Amino acid sequence: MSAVFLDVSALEAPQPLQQALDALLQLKPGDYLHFHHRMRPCHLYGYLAEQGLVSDTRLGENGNCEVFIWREDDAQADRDACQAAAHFPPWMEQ
Amino acid sequence: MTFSEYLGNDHLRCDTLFAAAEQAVAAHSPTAAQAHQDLVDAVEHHFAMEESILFPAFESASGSAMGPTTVMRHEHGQMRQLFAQMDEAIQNGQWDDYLGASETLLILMQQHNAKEEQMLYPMSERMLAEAQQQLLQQMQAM
Repeated sequence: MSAVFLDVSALEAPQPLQQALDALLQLKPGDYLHFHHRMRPCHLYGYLAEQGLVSDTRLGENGNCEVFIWREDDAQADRDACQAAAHFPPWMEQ
Repeated sequence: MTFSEYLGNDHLRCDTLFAAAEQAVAAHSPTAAQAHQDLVDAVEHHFAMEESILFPAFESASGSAMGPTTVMRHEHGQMRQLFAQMDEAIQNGQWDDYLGASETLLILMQQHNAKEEQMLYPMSERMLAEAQQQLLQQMQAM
């Protein structure tokens, strides 16, 4: 397994969504994506549901948003992503 | 016929013209400028079908103009910038500059087409199932 970390916090729209879509298309079995952004990526979630992906959105340091994304049928990625996400408190709008 | 079939086949047509243009430029062929123009015309026609028919329908059905189609429009703009660089290079006989820009374009186009074929077109087929054939007819008439 491996965590794919993607930091888009310094990018302007639509580059965060662009890079997230690229990363998700390349996600390998056992992998999960850790998406780090300065805001909640509201336009990403509709795509995730359509593509059989699930996510867990957490509150990072300094109000950043940490989204963990994996394939819903990938048990290993599910386990690893949930463990990684547990290091952060649940997301709350600032 | 589906969006994936029709527009996916059009991607293949553009890929073939892309390879022909690169080969012509690499050979410094007198047909290079025409091969490049054939590529630009084909890709612009493809963009037009998406930007004027598919994307507006997708945005209307999804209720958002800020989702995947925004990314696709942004990437169309990036590819148009590279086409402009390639136009200038070919007019000035700067073959290496052309091939440098075309290498960047190839990577961008492969990533772009993958997003459309694996994500946007299948989503469109589900969201626009009832309108799909009518929208395809509009594209074929362009």
